[in-house]
Amino acid sequence: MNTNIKDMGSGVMFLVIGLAFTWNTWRHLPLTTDGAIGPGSFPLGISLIVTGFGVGLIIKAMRTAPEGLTPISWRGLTLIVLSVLVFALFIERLGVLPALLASTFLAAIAPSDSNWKTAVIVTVALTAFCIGVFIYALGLPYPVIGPWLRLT
Amino acid sequence: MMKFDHKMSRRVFLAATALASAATLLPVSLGHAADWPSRPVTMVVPFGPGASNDIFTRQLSEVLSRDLGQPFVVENKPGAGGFTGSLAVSQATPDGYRFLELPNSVVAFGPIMGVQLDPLTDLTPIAILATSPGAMVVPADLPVNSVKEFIEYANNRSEDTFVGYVGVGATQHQMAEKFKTLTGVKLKSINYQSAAEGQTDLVAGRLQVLFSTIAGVLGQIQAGKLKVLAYTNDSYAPGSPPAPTMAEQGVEGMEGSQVWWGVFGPKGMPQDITDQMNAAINKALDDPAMVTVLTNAGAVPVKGSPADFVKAIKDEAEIVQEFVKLTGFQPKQGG
Amino acid sequence: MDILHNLILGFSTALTPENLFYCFAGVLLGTFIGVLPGLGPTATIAMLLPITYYLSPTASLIMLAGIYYGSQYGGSTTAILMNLPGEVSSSVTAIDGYQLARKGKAGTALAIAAIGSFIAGTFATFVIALAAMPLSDIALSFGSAEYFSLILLGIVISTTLAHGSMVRGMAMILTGMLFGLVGTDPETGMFRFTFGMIELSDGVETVAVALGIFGLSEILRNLEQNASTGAITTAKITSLMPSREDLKKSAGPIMRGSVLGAVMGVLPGGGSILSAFSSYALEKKLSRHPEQFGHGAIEGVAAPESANNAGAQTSFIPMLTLGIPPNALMALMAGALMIQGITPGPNVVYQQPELFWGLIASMWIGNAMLVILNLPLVGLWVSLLKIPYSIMLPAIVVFSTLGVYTVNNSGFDLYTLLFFGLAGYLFRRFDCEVAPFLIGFVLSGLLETHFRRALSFSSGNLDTFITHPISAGILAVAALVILLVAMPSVRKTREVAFADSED
Repeated sequence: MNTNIKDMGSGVMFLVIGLAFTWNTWRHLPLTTDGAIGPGSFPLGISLIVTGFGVGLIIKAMRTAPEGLTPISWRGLTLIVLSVLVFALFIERLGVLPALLASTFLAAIAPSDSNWKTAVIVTVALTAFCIGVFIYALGLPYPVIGPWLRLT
Repeated sequence: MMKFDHKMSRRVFLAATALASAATLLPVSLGHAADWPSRPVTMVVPFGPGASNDIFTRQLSEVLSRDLGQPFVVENKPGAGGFTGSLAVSQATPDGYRFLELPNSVVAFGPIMGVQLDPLTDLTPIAILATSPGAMVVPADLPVNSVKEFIEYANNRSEDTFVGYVGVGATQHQMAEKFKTLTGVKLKSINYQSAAEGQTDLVAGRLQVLFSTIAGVLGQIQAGKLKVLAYTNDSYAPGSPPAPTMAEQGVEGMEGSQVWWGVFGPKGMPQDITDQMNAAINKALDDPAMVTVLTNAGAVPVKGSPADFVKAIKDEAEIVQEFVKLTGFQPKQGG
Repeated sequence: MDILHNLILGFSTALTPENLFYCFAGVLLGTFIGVLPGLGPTATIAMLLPITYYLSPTASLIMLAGIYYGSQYGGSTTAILMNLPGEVSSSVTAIDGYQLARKGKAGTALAIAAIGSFIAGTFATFVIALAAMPLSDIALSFGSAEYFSLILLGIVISTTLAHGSMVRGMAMILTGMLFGLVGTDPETGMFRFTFGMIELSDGVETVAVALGIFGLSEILRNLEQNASTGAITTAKITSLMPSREDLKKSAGPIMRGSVLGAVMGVLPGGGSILSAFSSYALEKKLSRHPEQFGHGAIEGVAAPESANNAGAQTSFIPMLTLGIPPNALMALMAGALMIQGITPGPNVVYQQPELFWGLIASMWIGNAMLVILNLPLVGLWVSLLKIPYSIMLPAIVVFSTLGVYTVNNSGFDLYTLLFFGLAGYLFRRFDCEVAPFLIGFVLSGLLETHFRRALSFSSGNLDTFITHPISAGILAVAALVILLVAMPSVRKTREVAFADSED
């Protein structure tokens, strides 16, 4: 297809974001309240301009020379997303230690050419470092072992 | 079991930065009969660091750590005007190891913000800490010296007269609207997101009157840039500039409009721990450092039983209901 | 001379062993927490607040102030080394600082940041000593109309920040502005774009946005290549210290950045945010090689770092001279004073001269300590870059994750981090730079609030922005900038922009 993917991609993103905010403003937010500017005017104005930029870039994409994109590393992407998610899910329930161990390990094996041995060493070292700095030195009030793992 | 010890880690940290002078941090056990508290206690402040209730809670925790022999650790859990942290505590196990410090805005969660959290049923009221009346503050060069003169001044001015307050639906907004309704004075409201913005506009003369607690404006009053026309009631801290009450100035019905701060436990706290914590807080309110921190921020320490606190909450709820009826304020859920 | 007398009083206060010690403790701790992303000076100062009750007022304020400006020094470190800006101001430093690091010139960037900060700190100290009172009048003369115009100028200026396509830069600013409006409408209390999530009612957490859109998206970008083979920089790490040439290039930006930062730091409602990237944009405009900006121009580090540090110090002026703390951090400083029974306000300078002048003198001493402390550390930081990326990558992920969590102790902020990390990754794949997004994000709420408040004061009359002289002047400058920027770029657009320069 004779389109420029970078222009098309950014155009579509701006269009989607612009339309989403326009639609939401239109549905929920009054443009004026008691004669003064309401909560809707300012976002509506901006979201319409963003939508316009999106349309412009899409039109431009069809007129410019195609351009390639670097391939996405799906393995890396998935593991990094999991790494942050796991941390968010673990920290309040299982505690800082399990959260850090799991999250660091997932991030450490994200590169396609990572090896397990290094990943384990990095995980242990970084976890120890973070607990030392954040929990013991700075005294942040997070349980190292969370309520779900406590025996009592 | 809990592996970390905040007090300990802080001492290590202090040693590291060699702040050895803080020897007062050593816990002194007073030997309570019951075994509570037997491990560190978390005091949740549902706002960011720096707000007055954060400062109060940190000082209170310092005193409680010393008196009860276990570290009381402050945890800031800000978000949604205090709702996020409050909800988390309301759902916590009521074992006496997690408390919540809140100002009177807790009462406004339902009627003003439209979220579901009733301080009387979803939390356990433990003790009220302190109160601070609202102050009606004007620039020093405004040619009025009483509430009555102010009303005449505002009504006879050719241009608009502006009243400022911080926060939509918050205590100061309620005071401003109530004042407008009770006196019928012609004022246009300006809403601020932070006290600093309102104070700047007041000192600069863009605002003609501000409803505020006294703490933020004390310095400018002492420097002769602002003056207090009246307080909502007479329980203001020693050291605050003296002024009559609204009622003395002929505006009846604003006595209850004030800010208070109090400590809550999760829903369903056992009575004995509630009583012990209440006693500990009442005792802490005798501590000179605690008193200094409160009074220097324009707040008056208030002692009382959990039942007294419940009454204060009910009184506040009435004031909020009245405000809602008065202004037709509705919690509005946008998108 | 009066000022001489005051400075002597200040230095004799600040140079007592006790105060020197607390100054050192403050800047050391400040550097340390500044380097860690997330946990900022506000939380640290809050933790130490009860202890200050047992110190003298002067000592406690000197220490707390040291934590604050020390953290500004430390904040640039991770921005330069790992593209992890802990706050908005250091995100500007990250633009060129990180590119310098990738080219093996991290040492130069870090050293220039330290030197620039020191010079700016020195300058700001003298500004406070000589002109605190007149400057506090400037702060008072800025009402909503003036702030609106200033922020509008800032947004206009920031369009020049993008080094690629102008169209994309503008679209990114506006997109950032949309996300900056998420939360509670300040005028009516209505929720906007929260999609039923109560966690969003206070808006989207800035630190999570900054670390996501810069740090996390960079990780995802790097994973496209075979990451573990190289380090952040595959180039040879050249010199640790800046060359003569670098110093010469940085001198102007440091001076101009210091002045701009010192003046804007006084303005609480947005001035401090604007100063870092305004100074960056100014240097880009003045430079004979604007095309180097965004690809590792040392001026792009020198200017915002100086502006940032000068502003950090002059932001004490409204608190000290007016008793009005402009932000949570200054509110804590005011709190520290109130705990001691001192009411912050215009009287402090008369009633507590040794406190006022001692604090000012300590700022200069603290800055000297910081530069002595930080220059030797440059070598250590740079050696971190030799660590293989397979180790750096999990470290960056974990530091951003834990860092974001420490800001509000909120798991929700981590989902925000993830969302903006992924969004930033997509944007960057399509050649959209993320710095303008962040600027739009932090400024839009302020712009709207001041616009609506100014109109409340004027009964909806738009004239208010022109009848206020300061506001009118700023708007004229904004119009001039638009002319200056638009003219050459319209011409350039024909040649370059439609082919879109490759990153």
